[in-house]
Amino acid sequence: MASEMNRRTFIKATVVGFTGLTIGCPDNSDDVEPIDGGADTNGDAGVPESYSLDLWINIDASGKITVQIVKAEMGQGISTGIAMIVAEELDAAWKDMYFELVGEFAENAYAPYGFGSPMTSASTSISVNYTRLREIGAAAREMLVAAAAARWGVEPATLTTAESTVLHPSHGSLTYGELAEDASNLPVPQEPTLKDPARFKLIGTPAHRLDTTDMVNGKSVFGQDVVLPGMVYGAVRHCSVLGAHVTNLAALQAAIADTAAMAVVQIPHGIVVVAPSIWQAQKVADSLVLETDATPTQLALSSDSISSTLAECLTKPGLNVHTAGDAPAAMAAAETTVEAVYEVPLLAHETMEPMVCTARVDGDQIELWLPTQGAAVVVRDVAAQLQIPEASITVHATHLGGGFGRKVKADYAVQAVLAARETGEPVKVMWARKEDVQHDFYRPAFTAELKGGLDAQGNLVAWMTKNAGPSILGDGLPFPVDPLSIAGFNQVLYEIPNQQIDHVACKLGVPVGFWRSIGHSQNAFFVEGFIDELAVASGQDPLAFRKKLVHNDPRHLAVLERVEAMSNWGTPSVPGAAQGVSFTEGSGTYTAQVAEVSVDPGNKMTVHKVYAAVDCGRVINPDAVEAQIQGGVVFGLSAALTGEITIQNGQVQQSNFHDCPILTLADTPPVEVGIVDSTEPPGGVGELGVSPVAPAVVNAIHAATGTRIRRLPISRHFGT
Amino acid sequence: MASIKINGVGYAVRTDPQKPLLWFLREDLGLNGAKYGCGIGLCGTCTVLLDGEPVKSCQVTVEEITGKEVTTIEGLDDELGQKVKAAWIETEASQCGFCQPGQVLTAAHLLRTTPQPTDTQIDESMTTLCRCGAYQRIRAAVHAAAKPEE
Ligand code: FES
Ligand code: FES
Repeated sequence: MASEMNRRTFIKATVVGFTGLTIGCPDNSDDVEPIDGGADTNGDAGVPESYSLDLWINIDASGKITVQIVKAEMGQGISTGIAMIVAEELDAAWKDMYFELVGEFAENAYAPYGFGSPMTSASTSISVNYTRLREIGAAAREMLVAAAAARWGVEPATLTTAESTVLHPSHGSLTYGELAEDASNLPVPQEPTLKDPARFKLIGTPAHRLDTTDMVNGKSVFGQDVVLPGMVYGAVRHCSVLGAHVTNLAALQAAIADTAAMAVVQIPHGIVVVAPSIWQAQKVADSLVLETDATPTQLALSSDSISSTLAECLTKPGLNVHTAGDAPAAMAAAETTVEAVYEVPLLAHETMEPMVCTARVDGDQIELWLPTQGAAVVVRDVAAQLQIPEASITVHATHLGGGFGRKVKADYAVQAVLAARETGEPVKVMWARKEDVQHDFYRPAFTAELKGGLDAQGNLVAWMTKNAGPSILGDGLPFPVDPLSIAGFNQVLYEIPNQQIDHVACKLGVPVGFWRSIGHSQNAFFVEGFIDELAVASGQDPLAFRKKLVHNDPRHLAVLERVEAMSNWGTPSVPGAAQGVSFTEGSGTYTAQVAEVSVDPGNKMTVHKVYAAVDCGRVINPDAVEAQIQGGVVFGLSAALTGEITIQNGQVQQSNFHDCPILTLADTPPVEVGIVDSTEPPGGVGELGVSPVAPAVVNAIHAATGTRIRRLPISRHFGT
Repeated sequence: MASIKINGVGYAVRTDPQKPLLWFLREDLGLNGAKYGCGIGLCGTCTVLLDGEPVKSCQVTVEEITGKEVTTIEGLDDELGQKVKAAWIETEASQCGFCQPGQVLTAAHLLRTTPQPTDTQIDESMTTLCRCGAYQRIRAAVHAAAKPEE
């Protein structure tokens, strides 16, 4: 094992505890005083001594085992999943397991657990770190065993472990709590022995999350809940025209003279109004009129101009991203050919917790408390934009009130630092929902042209496709095509002998970013909608057609067969409904979905039920897999049904949940999840429910009505 | 000076009477369970109980609650409240957790007025938005909390 396992050298501190952040009292408490019944709740019980095993694991004398989590906890239950893997190899009792979210510093932020991504994204936390996490648990176990062996003067090989205890046939037992101090003084084994997976007790069983109790008691600390002594509040206002800058700062600063606001601070593309209360800050910000340098090009941006830019890009030759056989020749020889153009709109993230960041500047030291999917990105971007050394920045991670790819960005962190630096006070910068909807990094609008050729027996023999849209990773990539643009597009899951797949990068002038499932969010709709068209055009059952195209791959076939059985394919559970199917892959996980949909005579459509069959390799926590797939389906369904950000005169036209709605409880169909048994390496699940649902629903609508939807959202075509 | 009762504690309040209850709870009392999600009464993450009825605390001013009693998630600890929280934990109804204080308070009110709610009654009452899409389990948690003790 590499030497980065030892982390004593580079982590400096952790801040946000499991149960709460208690840095200070609310600052406005002068305005209110208890007059009866106010109990003092500050009783401070003795805290047992805690020992670090140098492995992201602390064990205290009472036996409490705390795993430090460097990944963002945003509802996917990653902290519980990581704790399960560690506890499995550690032979720890589950009741002893706790976790702590830790901030990351520049030196180690790119190397959580020694490798992996600096971001929590693309459903990779478990799939990339699985073996490493097992090694960490196994190494800690060996240290505890070695400590017990020394205590008893016996060979480590004579000892066994179970339920947080080391056992010896004649000496009896010692708990991990009793051994923690000794173990913490031992070297970290570099090549620990891993368990035979056949002996797993915890992995693969449904475990309760370690943080649910705090959540339902309102105790989890989100970015919004951070409180620092002497803290003031910042309300952000961006220029409504995308990309513009504020030009009347002095006038705005003069305008707050007789208000509660203390400062107006310029930030890229806007201002922060600082006041003792966020309510005051928002009120003053609402009263200010921003003048900007919006250019004619920026002002000319509209949804129509975006659509025409995409259409124009599609006429360009593009870069080839995959070839097999001779697609043009096979297409020319095909018995039947089918062609279609698909398009998807911009989408907002609408995390339930809008952007928020608290910053404190002390000399050249900057401390940040925020919900982030990429503490390393925050450090890098804040340092670069403010031209300060990365080492002067400390990031404290909080719980995230939803991430979905939005909280990979550091724009709100930069704003908080600017406000804190200029006012000299700790500032909590909070976005109103309108700012969140109108100044997002959107799921890019995208388009695709697809052509398929079938022979006389209905075999799919030719596949020529091209998609066009903006790169999320941007310019200057070390590879010719942004892999995110073609994820789920350049490699189709089906065996097609002749393929030509192209991509055109297309700049739109809109900020774009990661949106739960990234490129798959549009490409699954394109590919799976079109596969359905080919099945229909050749008179074949869409599910049988797909099965035929994967018959050489048992893993693919098993997922399709599972969804076929679950959904009782061909016989919808609701009389009069029709079924549609889709099949996708992402982050090492295969998902097939069937949606049941009906459309009434008034053209209003209803999704009655969604079935999802999932093969995500070895399952860590089946309960979390089910929750993530269900949530993913709801997220994807919101987008498919009504999701759309439109732009007019350079400005986003939506502003809040009334014109940018998300699914409600009443609208949400039951989602039945079936997990395929597997011993393959674990795949991701956070995003895997999202992308298959749009094509499954659109294909069901076709089965119900004969109408083929090639442009989302569905609300453009049917009542939802 | 206004006097209000929050989670069983009476307070004398000098805060601006026009201040929304949400910000009064969060900034003045340090009760962070009620969350800001939309600010215009659409999402329900700021829900608290006012004299037992769910209200969106972003839409109510300090002045409007004078003489009334507020229960936030931190103070929801009566028998029914505990039952609802236990059902939430048992069904793992929470994902990111941000909306859950609003969900739990709304469910506690629903079950107080309708001890055995139907799915339609749950649809009508449980209107707090959840971007994580945990709705299916939220529904299951309400049903679980409605189950009579064995
Ligand atoms: S914040 Fe009050 S309803 Fe959304
Ligand atoms: S659990 Fe995340 S918004 Fe509901």
